[in-house]
Amino acid sequence: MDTIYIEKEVAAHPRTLRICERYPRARQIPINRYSDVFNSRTQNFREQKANPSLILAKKPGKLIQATPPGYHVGGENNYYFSHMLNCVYDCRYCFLQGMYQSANYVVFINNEDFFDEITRTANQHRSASWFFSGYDCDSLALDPVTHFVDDCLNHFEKTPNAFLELRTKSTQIRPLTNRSPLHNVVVAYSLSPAAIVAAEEHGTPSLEKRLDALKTLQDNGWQIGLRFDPLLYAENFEDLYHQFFDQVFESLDMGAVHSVSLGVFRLPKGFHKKLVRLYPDSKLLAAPMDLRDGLMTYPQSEELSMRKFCTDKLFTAINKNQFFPCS
Amino acid sequence: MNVMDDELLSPVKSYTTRMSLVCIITALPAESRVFIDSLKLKPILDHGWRLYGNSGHLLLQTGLGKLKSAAATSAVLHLHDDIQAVINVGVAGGTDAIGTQLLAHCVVDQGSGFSTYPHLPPQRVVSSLPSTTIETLDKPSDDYRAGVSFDMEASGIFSAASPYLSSGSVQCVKVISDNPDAPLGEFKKDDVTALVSTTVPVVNSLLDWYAVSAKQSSIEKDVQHLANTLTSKTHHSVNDKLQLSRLLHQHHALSGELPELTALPETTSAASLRTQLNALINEHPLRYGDSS
Ligand code: SF4
Repeated sequence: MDTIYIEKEVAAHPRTLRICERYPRARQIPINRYSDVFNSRTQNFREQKANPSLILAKKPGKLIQATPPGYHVGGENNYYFSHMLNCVYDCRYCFLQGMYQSANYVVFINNEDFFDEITRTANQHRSASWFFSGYDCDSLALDPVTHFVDDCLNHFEKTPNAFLELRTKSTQIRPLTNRSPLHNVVVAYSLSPAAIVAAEEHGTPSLEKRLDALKTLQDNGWQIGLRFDPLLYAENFEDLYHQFFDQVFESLDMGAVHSVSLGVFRLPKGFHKKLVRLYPDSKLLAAPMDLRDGLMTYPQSEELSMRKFCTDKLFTAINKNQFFPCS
Repeated sequence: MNVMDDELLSPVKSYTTRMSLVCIITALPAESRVFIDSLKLKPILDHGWRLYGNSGHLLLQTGLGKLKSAAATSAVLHLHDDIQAVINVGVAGGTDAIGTQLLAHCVVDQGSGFSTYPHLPPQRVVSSLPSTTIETLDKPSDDYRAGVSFDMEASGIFSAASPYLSSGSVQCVKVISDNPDAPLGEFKKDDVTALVSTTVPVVNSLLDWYAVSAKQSSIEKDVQHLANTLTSKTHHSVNDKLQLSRLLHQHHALSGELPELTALPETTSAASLRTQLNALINEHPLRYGDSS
């Protein structure tokens, strides 16, 4: 990390000081609001991705949001939160590229405010509530810097009516394996065939490493989730995904998997347009695509056949009550 | 008449990428002289702007003040759409020692209070130069403040460049020429060249860095050059041109190369050219893995 922007309001916070200590040679630039840097209009996401800066800030306003319809794993009350914005990985299909002007990482250091709001929100409901982390970032990838997961697990340990999903592709699982598993936490991995990982998920751990991490977590008693999202179109789709699912099924105890979800590549039209502008040579953007309900996605017949192939294959290894397809 | 390297401003004849340009922007002749000499730049007569160049670099001398710097920057970026980055170099007042070189991490326009944050290059590129806020004043001042250096051009350059270039493609390197111990009244104009000369290594390093980045993204230029060649033969509307360049990119994504001109015999319409291109693209199905 070469450059750290620090909101003046959090400059003296112990978490800010700890993170800065990790990068003693970084330029430290004081700012008033993270949005002054992060939302500035002339930024180029692709250019910044080569050399991202870190922004340390206090997240103002509403910290917990309701998830979009269909985003759940069986719970009634579903929310998401983002303790950071952006991701250390560089998946070519990532919607963050369409959403943000900047590839800089924003880390919010007011963890306690998140936790207070989680408790308040959970207490509004009679039934348990789900809180999804990793919506605007990867939940674990920058944890050696942020140490968020430890604080978060400490909080959920004391909040039994709240369930947490940590969504990740990272193999930084030490904060989990260092402690006893929690009944109300699911660690969910996004998985893709190895050839797609290599071509489209730049900088991420290989499929093999992710499966190793999942197996370790399972062996340690943690509940795991599998997210096959996005499925990507390919002429050799069935070969790719057939081999891939076999590899997943061989590596894990599928009967003990908490939840499995699946969805095809889809992006809001504006995000897709931006992605084409940023990465016109991306292979996945050369696939046939249609605009349906404001989303750029594969033609319906293609989508249905991809979904059917994968669902049929999944049901050879899991039960219907483990399955939550994305709409 | 243009006395510069022919290649620089002549129309593109093939779709071989030509070198990207980085434009150094200074205010004063004494600042310009440093780079005219070190980069062996030649004058270019271009709509009355003080412009110098070689095959990879331009130098624009704007004159003093943010209005002049904004007007000249905007005009030159409009005329030369292949400028990839600009670097404002010059002297500034501040609280650091005379001769301290600084990279701007924030440029504030004193008049409007508007701030700009350039996306900074990696430290290794700028030899870990310290960074600062540059405040652009309308009139010279000796009201020195810690953490802020003063100049009279940077905010004009940044605001004029913003419609053309990203925040990582506009940088500002300044050398302290006056401070509370040696205020502006004591400043000798003759010292400017010597002070600005000290920035040559860091400016060269930035020029090299931009040149390497341009090479990495050269496919975009190759596509545009091929598209220009094709559209010069067949009428294309703006929308046709967009569709054409999208198809050329798709061909590149799937086959790893752009189509040969010989594979695209002359057509009478943009639509039939697209039909030809689609047929070529279909020869390369999207596959992942060893067999792709
Ligand atoms: S891991 Fe997730 S958040 Fe990170 S780049 Fe990939 S898709 Fe985006």
